[in-house]
Amino acid sequence: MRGKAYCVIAIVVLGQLTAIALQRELWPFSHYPMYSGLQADWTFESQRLYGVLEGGEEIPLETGSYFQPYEAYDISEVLAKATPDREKLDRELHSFLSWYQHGEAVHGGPKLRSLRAYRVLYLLSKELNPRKRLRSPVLSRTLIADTER
Amino acid sequence: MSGLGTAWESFWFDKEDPSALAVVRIAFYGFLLLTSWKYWGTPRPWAEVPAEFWDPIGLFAFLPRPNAVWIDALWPVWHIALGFACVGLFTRAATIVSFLVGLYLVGVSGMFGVLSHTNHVEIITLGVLAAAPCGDAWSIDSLRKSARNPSGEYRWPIQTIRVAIMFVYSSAGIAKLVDSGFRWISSETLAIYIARGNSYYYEYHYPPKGGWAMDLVRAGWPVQVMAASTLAFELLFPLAVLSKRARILLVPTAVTMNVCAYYFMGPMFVQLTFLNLLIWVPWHRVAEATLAALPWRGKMMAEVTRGGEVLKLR
Repeated sequence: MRGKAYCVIAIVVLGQLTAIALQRELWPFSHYPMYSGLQADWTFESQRLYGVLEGGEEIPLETGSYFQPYEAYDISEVLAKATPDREKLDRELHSFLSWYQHGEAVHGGPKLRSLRAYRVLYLLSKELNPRKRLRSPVLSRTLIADTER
Repeated sequence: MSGLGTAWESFWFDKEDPSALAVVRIAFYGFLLLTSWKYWGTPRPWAEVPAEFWDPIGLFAFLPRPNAVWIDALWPVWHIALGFACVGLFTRAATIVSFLVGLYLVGVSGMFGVLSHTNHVEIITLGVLAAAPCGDAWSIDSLRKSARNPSGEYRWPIQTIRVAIMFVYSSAGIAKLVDSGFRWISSETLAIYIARGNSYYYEYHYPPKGGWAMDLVRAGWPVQVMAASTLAFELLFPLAVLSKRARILLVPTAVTMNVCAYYFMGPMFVQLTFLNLLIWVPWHRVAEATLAALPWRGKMMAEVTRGGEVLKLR
């Protein structure tokens, strides 16, 4: 009994201590870095997908319903992780476009000619009022990748 | 044995009633069975995500990308195993299957570029219970076995789950110190995180939070106090494992913090909150006292023996 108990205890304790020491994810162990980064500005950055319609008009793909089970927040995180690697970002954007087109019959979204990824900087404010669901104003929008069908 | 050796031995292996672990088994597997089926849903949609986004972490580096057929097959198997583990039928096999299949089904959603930290402790608890004799009391299996006496083998699993919970909070405190130092308190960091969580644009898939979190942000000092208390709480939480007195303050604070995190910023630490409510309280004593106090106990008294933990109705 002791041998098995110590084995389990050692896996849990050492797994967790290693994740803390390395400050990295070792699933199912973690250093739990949620909300740990220092925030200096009342802004936030988010990566957003925009579709380009056949006529050239650009529309924001705001909800994650086109890319279930991703939520909009998840898409932003995925694009942010890929951004330092241009080839990976292009591949992912192409995958998003194929995924969108593959699911057109299900989500019923408009036909797209191409897909663009933007880095959008929003302004936060202490006066933000979620009761009114007001949108944070956009400070800037920078194209980070573009893919054609 | 030295004082430290005695304390170590006592911490992990003091005698404990089999019913203490049985309560954890019934409640935890029952909770997973109800919540995963009704609220979290099958991870099947992840099988449809293009391979480009597969980004395995930790153990998942050795596991394959999900496909719909496996998930459709494993999902009911997992729930049957959870149900068997809950009632204590073929408990050992049921807890092992619950762990191995749950490891995959619960974890797979975090392997596509976005990792949620809400279910790590759930997996660790499944693993600990799979190795523990949690079916020795208050189970269908126990009706076919002779009664078990109190033993250290019923204590170490509970202590290990407590330690795993302790690591969740203390690791979060350490991460804040490593990433930001004490400026995490002195700056407006927490206020900005709360404002982000309440921004319509940022994470609008979370339910509306009512706006009073932003009232606190506007007031200024309450959020600064919250930041200082959060960090102090997280760094002091190891005391909950060592001291019953500290536990009285720290565990309710942990539950309150998890609820506040939801109302202020959005993330739901449901499994962690449930485990906090379950693992620190000797619920088997509460159950025994409740059974003993039932008004109809004269006719049909539930006798829970201290040693055997077999529920006898007479």
